[in-house]
This record gives sequence, C-alpha cells and structure tokens, in this order.
Amino acid sequence: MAIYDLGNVMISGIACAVPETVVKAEQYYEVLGEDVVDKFVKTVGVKQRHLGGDSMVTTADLCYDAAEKLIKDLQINREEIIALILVTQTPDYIIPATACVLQYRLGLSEECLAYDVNLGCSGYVYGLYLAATHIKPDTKGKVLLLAGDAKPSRKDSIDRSQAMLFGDAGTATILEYTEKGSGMKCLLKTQGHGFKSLIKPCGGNRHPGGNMERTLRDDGTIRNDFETYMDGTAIFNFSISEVPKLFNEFNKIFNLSPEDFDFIAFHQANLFMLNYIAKKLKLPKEKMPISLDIYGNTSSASIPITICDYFNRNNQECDDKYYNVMGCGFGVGLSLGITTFQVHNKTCFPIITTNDSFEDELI
Amino acid sequence: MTEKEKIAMLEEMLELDEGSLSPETSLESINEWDSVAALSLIVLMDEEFGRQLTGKEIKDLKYINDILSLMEK
Repeated sequence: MAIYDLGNVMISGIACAVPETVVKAEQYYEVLGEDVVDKFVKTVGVKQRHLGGDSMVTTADLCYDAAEKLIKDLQINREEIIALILVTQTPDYIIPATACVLQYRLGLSEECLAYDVNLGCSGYVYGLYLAATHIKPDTKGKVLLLAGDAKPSRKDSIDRSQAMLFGDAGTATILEYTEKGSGMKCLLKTQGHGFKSLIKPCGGNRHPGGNMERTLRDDGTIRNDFETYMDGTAIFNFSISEVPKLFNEFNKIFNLSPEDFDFIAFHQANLFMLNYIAKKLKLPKEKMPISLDIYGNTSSASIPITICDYFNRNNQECDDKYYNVMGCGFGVGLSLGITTFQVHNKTCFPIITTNDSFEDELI
Repeated sequence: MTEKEKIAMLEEMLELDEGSLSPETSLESINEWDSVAALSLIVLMDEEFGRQLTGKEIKDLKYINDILSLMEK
C-alpha cells in the first residue's frame, strides 16, 4: 500500500492566482435555461467562477504569478529552489514539459529539477507527496510545487454537466526541511478501471483525430470529441463510496481522528456530494470549508484554494498559529489520496487575480 | 419498510405532496425528475438501503415501481 509518513518536512507557504474575469451562473440563463441553472446552483453550489477566456491566461501563467508572489513575500532566494513540480492536465504545450518553461520564466537555477505530473482532482495530494520526497536533511533546498488547471476554451462549453462547474486557477506551494512539526502523512490509491468516467478522448496518440463538430450525445450533453466527457453518475458513486472508505482507512492507519485536524480541505467537486460525504463521516460543517461557491471546481488547485480562501474568509477569528490540515483529493484517473500537513495562516496568502499571459513569440 | 413508506420517501426526496406518486407513475411525467434528482436517489439508496446504483440502472428507470424494485434487491 502507498502509505508514507514523511517527517522533517513542512509547508512554508501557499499562494494562489485566478483570472480576473468572474463568470456568474446567471449568465447561463439564456443557454441552459433559468430552472436548470438555479437548480444547479442550489445543488452543486457553484455561484460563480474565475475564467481566463479571451485573456488567454494559461495554467502556467497563473502558477507563475502565484509563485512570484510566494517567492517575494517569503523572501526566498531563487537559488535555493532545487525542485519544481507542475501538476496540471492543461499544460502550455504537449511537448515540452511546462515545468521546464516555468524553471526558465521564474529564473530558477539550472541545478533545479523540473517535471510535469498529469493528474487532476487528486493532484495536489500527489504533488505534496512527490515534493516531500525531494527534501532531505543534507539539502538545504526548497521545493516549489505548482498545481492547477486553466483553459481558455472553458468559457465556450455548453455541456450542461460541466459548463458551470469548472474554474481556472493556479497555485504555488513551497516546502522545506524542518526539525520540528508533524511532517506529512500520505495514503494514495488508484482505480484505473474507471479511466473512462472522466476523459478527453481525442487529441492524444490513441485517437489523434476526431469530430470537431458538437453533437448531442447519448448522455444528453452537447460536445465534440475534443471536449472532456464526464460520467457524472459514475464519478458521484465513486466519490461517495470511496472517499469515506479512504478517510476511515487513513485515520485507522495513522491512529488519527477528525478532532486532530483544524479543518479538512476536500477537493471541491460538488457541494451536494461533499455534504453527503460529511454526513457519512459525521463531520461538522465548520471542519469542511467550501470554496467552490466562488471559485468552482478548480481541479488540482482546489485544495490550496480552499485553504487560502478559508483563512481569508475567517481572517478575524483566526489565531496566528500553525493549523493541522488534512487534504483529500479524488477524481479523474480515477485517482485518490489523502495527506496531512501543517500550514500557518500568515503564509497562506490571499488569492490574487491576474490576466498576465506569457508571450512565447512562437506563432 | 412498506411500499407506502418507500413511496413517501421518494415524495419527500422530490419535494412532492403526499400521495402524488404511485407505483404506476412514470418518471417522464414528473417534472422534478432530472439529473439532480437522480443524484438524490443515489444518496437515498446508499444511505437507506446500502446499495450503489449504476448509471445504467438509473437510465433504465421508467416507473416509480422500477425504483421500488431496486429498493428490494
């Protein structure tokens, strides 16, 4: 089993960036109908999202701005960063790894390792685990974990299962060695048999071509072969059964319980689903912060977005201290995982907005 | 659980008045039956009957009676 208890590693800070443009659910009244939209908001819980759209801001751009903020506010020497991991399913290019481009854009050392990880909803948990494995007592270096998803085409979707659900976001997290603190504990799993439940079937090497024309599909959605397909029922079933199992298994392995955490940052899949998971686990509402109401489902960015948003919303009530947090990611793959860590409220920065886009002078 | 109780449960789930559903009611005729209601049904089946519905099972539902049969399995 993929169980890891990684000591001597801490999160030094988290910063997040979203595009400037806010798209409200009401803007879909005309395309999807008022009843459908209102019911969606009430059930799924997404009132608005930040979308890049015409600004052509990409995941890499949002992660870049989040990383710049973190490096400046934490006064980090760029030479100290020994590893850069980018978790995304919306890279700038198919080739090369976008992490390499970001090593260059951020002015990091050539001694820094860099690679991309293709994971979504579970990606931040996997990213933290991977980042932590690069930290050793004899290396003074820090690790930069970037995670998020954004795509300019998102605004054009009319697939009613997704059009109002997903938001764009990029995040940056710095990890470093520590003698103190509780380290990180991880439990990671994969259920690849469900790979078809959430898939972009065409444009890769299995099916390079496909129909660009949008048609009405058997599941009632309207999309083309290059748009992502989601089997909502399958994902919903997977989440409400596997997440509580994972949660209980994790706590049993590490002898922990919900009382040991200040809050649990769940991947922000769907409010109805999260409320039911909370009910099954008997989690009080205040232990399960929600950010999807204003940011939507932001894929691998949703856990850090939820953490920074939590401290921003509860700014007045939060004591200055380290908080014990559990992060739980689940979805596309299908892939799932839990990790626990500590964060300080003062270094989980307010979410910034940006429309800055990198000019690569290629085309 | 009696059939009456099960139907009452479905009426509550769909926010319908008591007595508005019968085993013969077709789902097509219920305005409230949509993809969101299907999620509620998944939750109800999981919570009350410890049973996981598949997408195909949901798609194949035509009448309230079909749901009642699933509750017995």
